[in-house]
Amino acid sequence: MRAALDRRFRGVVRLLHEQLGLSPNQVSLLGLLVGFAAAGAVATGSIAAGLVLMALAQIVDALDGAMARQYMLQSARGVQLETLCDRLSEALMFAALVVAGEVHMELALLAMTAILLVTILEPRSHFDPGFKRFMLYFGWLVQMLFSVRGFELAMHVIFLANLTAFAVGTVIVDYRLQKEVDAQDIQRRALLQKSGVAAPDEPPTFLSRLASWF
Amino acid sequence: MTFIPHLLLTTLGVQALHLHGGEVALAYTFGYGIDLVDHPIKLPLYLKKNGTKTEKHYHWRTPLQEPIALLWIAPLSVYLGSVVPVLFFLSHLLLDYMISYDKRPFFPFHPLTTKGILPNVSDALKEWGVTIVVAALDLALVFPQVASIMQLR
Repeated sequence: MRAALDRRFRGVVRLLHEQLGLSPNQVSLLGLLVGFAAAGAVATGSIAAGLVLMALAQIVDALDGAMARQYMLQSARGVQLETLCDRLSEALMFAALVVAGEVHMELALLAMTAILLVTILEPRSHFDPGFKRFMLYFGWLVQMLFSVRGFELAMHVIFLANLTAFAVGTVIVDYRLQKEVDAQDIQRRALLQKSGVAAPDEPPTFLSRLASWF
Repeated sequence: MTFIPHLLLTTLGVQALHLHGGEVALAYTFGYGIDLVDHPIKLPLYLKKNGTKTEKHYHWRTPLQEPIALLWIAPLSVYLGSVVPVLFFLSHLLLDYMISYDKRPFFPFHPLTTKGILPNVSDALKEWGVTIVVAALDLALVFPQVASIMQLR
């Protein structure tokens, strides 16, 4: 999917980089500026305009990565800057929704906390459910169609999904470590068996007796 | 620790705090149920490594029942507007940390490994001691309630 998006953005990326001389980091900052404008629009009550600007910010957001890949400009610092800009955009949008009276502050803070938890774990777990800003479009749509507090509903989903993703992420990292430790133990055991000094089996526990039934 | 002290301590907490309805479910989920979710996660790895053979000190735990889980349980408590998840999860941790198998309290953010509280005291002694004390307290709390019901009859 990323490759398909990169192909689609190739022309725009060329224009931004070769004609206007922008770097991927500058594009990330441009995305943040558009996100700031989106939050400003929402805070002043222009929700629809704010969401259109947020969609534009998301497109700009996709361009920095595409540019970095197209011109081999990827860097760890660039990834960090992009993540920082994304979180700031989301925090600004959540704050704007609070100011606009669409969401309770406590709920927005909880949702942001859950997002930050996933962000600090993501470099280890490589697991992020994403869709944070997409949920806000969904919230707006629900609000328009059913006259309910859609943004509030979206915020509940964002909080619970990210909190679950964090808990699952910690398990994923631990599972990977355990797999590695087990593989090393199996190798060590095989070597010991080869050399004829294998340790004797431990007496069966309840679990191993239970497992032996199957 | 085995499931009996966990169940007894959770029951004690539920009775002492006079919990009702959903809070009882939360108390048992975080005081005991977390074990039921956590341990089966590593069962496929255990079976792959050992088959049906026994490995006494296998690392069954995941970060779901380590102190690091407070990072998600505390916000969940705030969201639910109840201290029960945090409180009963802490009671679960307390019992687990009394037994001397390896634990990684801050994994995946820090590699520290610990054997928990009083590692030099026998695990069996700690387990039996806790079980007897908590069971006695449970009975002490239940007995007056049973007596008052009997009197009413």
